[in-house]
Amino acid sequence: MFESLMTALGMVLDWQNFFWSLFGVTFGIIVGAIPGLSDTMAIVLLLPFTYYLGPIPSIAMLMGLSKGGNFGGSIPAILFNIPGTPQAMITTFDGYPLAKQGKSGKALKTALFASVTADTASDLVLIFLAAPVAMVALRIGPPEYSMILLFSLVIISLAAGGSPCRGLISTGIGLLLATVGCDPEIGTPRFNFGFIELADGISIMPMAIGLLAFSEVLLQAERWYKDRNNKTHDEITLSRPGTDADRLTPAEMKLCLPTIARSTLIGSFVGIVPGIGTTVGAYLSYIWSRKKSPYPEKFGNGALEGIAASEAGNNAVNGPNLVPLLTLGIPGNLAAALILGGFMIKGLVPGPQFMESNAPMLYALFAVLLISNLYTLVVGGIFVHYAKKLTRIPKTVLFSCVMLFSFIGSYVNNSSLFDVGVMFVFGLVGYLFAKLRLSMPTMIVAFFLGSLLEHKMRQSLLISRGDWTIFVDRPIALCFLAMTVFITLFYIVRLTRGRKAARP
Amino acid sequence: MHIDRLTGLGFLVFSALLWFVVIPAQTEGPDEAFVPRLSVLVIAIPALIMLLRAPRTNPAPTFDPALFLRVSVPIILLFLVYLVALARIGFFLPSFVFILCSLWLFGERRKKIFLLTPLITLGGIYILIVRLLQFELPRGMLF
Repeated sequence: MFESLMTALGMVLDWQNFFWSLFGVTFGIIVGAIPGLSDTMAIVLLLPFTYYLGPIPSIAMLMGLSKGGNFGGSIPAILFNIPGTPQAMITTFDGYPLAKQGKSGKALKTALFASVTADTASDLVLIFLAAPVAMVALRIGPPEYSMILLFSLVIISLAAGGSPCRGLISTGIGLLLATVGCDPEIGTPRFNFGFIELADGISIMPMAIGLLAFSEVLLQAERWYKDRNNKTHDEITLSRPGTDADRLTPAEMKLCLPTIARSTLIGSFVGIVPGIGTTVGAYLSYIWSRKKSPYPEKFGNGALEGIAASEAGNNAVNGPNLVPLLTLGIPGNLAAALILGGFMIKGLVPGPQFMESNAPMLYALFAVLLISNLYTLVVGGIFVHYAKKLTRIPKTVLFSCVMLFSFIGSYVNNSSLFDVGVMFVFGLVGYLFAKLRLSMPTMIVAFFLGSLLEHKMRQSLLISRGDWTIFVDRPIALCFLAMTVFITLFYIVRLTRGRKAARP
Repeated sequence: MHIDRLTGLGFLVFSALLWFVVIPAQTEGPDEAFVPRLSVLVIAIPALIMLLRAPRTNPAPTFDPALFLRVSVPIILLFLVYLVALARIGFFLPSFVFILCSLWLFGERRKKIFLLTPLITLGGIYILIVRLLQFELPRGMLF
């Protein structure tokens, strides 16, 4: 243990980690602050460049992008009532009213303080939970693993925004795409349609860039073109630096602390369960804080606790979300799935053995998470003053640049124009998905879990010589199977009741 | 027809196509086809539910054909032309033209933006990606 910690310290104290983490946080804040561009888009556009970095700097940059993007999303939410990222939607409830009162600096600083405090606390949750969960994970075999994956897939499908049917269709498509390439046991080609480039399966990078960046440009451009003549927000007056309206006083910080603690708890719990996501964390935290507040009427009219609850709730999801990723190899949400992509590019396979075989690297990653939080505080503190300028970058320029970087990002992968073609096709698929109200994050997470599920299920059936009762013979597997069935039935009953109640 | 019914019907046809045509043609045995068939069922069952049990009210439409033709189709075509040009001419010149054309298609008319965007973007790509990361972008007749 001590030896691993010392090795980890050596790994962390490399200038590259500090530099790329700073770069990630800064780029993440900038992208997050631009309405329409999200933290996941920032990750997906820079993911290909991790080829050129070592494992720790790569993950440091990706984590920085996620953390910076999360905070960046609150900037337009507070200044213009437009959430920069989906999870910042709840921040608009109190952030914008406070900014309209001339206290934009106070609102932004509350968001920053709550984000960084909750994020740091949630990273500590990750640090303390990862080892015990990994120890349990080491004792589970392929049948248990299969049922845990099945459980995660069901949760992810049902928790997807919109209807559960659309969530399940998205999951099915993700699973199907994961089967392209070769059979994992026999090695014979499958669904490659004669393209040798598909022999190893669909490359995640062009696929993710197409789905998350290229399609988003088409969707955003349509929306922007439609609304180009409408005034979407009132101009607010920024608070003057140095005034009370621009500062977050120690008394106000103290006032927000119980809310932050409560929201961190909620966010952490939400983060551990795969598929629920940051928006739910923010929303539940906000609702609970309003309920517990002695003056709930202030919520929605610029309450500092409202901003703190939303920001703490969505940032507290980040750390615990990595628990299933690092210990079981199961990404809990889209950002975690993309970070898993980053691990895979570096030849690292998160899962039960990861902690045992890469302990120093894991400790180094924990340290990098905490460094990123510090950077978010410093860089975010600087950006608070230039926030308004960031949001004024012309959309036309953004769209053109994102399209160009979509090409470069997918080309960098293998220096192949075939990959650019894959990106283009998935860009159109992403557009179609959005128009049909299907869930793209669900599909991407299912794509990641699909090959693992097939591998573990086939392994289980090999062990049992084709006997399916292996999934009910073992207690942990049976427990997860029962939970999967229970949750599915619960949803079916709820849907049926809801339909009956809706009938006149 | 309700959009949910239409979506359900579309995915049912897609599932049938996969089950009866694509999977038998692209797999070599029942073991290999097991997970693909399972995935098809995961698509087909909710699709059937959507087809049979669509709600009475239609949600607001997400697709505007006029907007699609005015904004998305030209961008898609431009990107296709850009890809063909890249393979033949090289990266920088087609990218310069692509940025100008895409700016114009997105509705940009300011001269300053037309001048600065390609210069800053391509200059940045040259310094960061070509010089610093030593990455080779597609080469063609000109570069």
